[in-house]
Amino acid sequence: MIKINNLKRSELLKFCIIFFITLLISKINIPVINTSGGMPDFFLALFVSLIASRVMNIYILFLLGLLVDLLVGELMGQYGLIFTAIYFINFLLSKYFVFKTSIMLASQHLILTTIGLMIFLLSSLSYELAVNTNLFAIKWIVTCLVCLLYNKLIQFFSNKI
Amino acid sequence: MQPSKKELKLFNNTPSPIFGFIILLLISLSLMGIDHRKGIHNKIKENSNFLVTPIIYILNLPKNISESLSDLFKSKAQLFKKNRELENKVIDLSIKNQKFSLIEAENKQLRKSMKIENSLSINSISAEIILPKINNGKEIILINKGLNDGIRVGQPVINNLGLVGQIIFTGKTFSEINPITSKKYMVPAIFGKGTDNIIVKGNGNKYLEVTMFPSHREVKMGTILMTSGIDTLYPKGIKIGQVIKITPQPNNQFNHLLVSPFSDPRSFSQVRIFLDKKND
Repeated sequence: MIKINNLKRSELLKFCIIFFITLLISKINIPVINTSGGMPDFFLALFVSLIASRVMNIYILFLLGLLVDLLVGELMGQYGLIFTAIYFINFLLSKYFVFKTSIMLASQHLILTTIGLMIFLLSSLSYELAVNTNLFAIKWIVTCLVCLLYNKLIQFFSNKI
Repeated sequence: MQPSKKELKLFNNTPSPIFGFIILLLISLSLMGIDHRKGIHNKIKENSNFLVTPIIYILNLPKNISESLSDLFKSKAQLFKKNRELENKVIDLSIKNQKFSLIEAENKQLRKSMKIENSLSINSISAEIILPKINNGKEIILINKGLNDGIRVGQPVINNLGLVGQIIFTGKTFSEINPITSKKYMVPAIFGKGTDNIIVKGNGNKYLEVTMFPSHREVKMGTILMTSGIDTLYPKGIKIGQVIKITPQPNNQFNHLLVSPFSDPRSFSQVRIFLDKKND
């Protein structure tokens, strides 16, 4: 049975607010970023931060991934796959490494974001590896930055990390 | 400061998520496979419009409010001036229209005498662009008309400058357009003079291209491309773009043509969608 393990009610509310804001900003037109094609993957950034702070279990992540697929995705199960894969990789990383300092945590976020974007790129229907390399590089940089911002936001809301 | 219990852990004793991961991995891959073959994503999206529609409404709210406020506070003099300008435009257009109605009547007569079917009478609807955006690396234009207005997947979209794209998804109150510059877009075309049937496709980077144009055929910079209408989907004679670069291929048998589209989703806010064709 799927349970909401570590999320308390207030944290759930905070998560819902962050999720809604993320949905809004991922749908909105941000003038410079959007036209240049370097629109960050806000949901990936949010969930990398959540997975790194280990506040959700894998089943909830998968269900939320399906919801994200429905809202902004192009293929059913794509975000579900990305989130579960990131969760598993984070599990392996935290088994063998300790991420304690802020630089370590930042590098952990960068690794997870990169892996997420790589899975996204490989499973995407619309990307062509040869042509959109620059676009992907911009997307990667901006998504990593947004991920670090989300990390700070989550740290601000709950002192879990 | 006392470190938390979690921080003191040297070895992580949480249960391994391998089993869950494998199960979810299989479910995800199956879902992706089924979606790729059967297109369930669009079906689910169509039935869950209520989730996205409020978001789109909220996103458009500031724009709608500012527009309605500016309408409210527009001075009477400005409105009179605009009205006079529009009246003048109407007179100009009606004069032009008189000429066109004569030409149309002549054209109809000629078509009748030559027994050519008239396929240019088209039922269309105008819509407003909500969001031109880049989603997963592909550009999508979102408009504020959907299934309720008779819009269906596959219908062509144009504006006053030329061809804009094609409907790829319809919700009840909104639709998504695949722009002509998208890599997944192709359209049969002819040159402005009515010669050379070719296929033009988007290159995913603001331009269109003709990859294998025979080098013995004449083409010049600035040549205008229009829809040929042989696909029976796009009406004949809609402007697509003009040739801006001609590159010979290594074997010298073909040229690569780069085409700059006339329409750009960032330079307009209104589009027209061709609903269906009606023959006279």
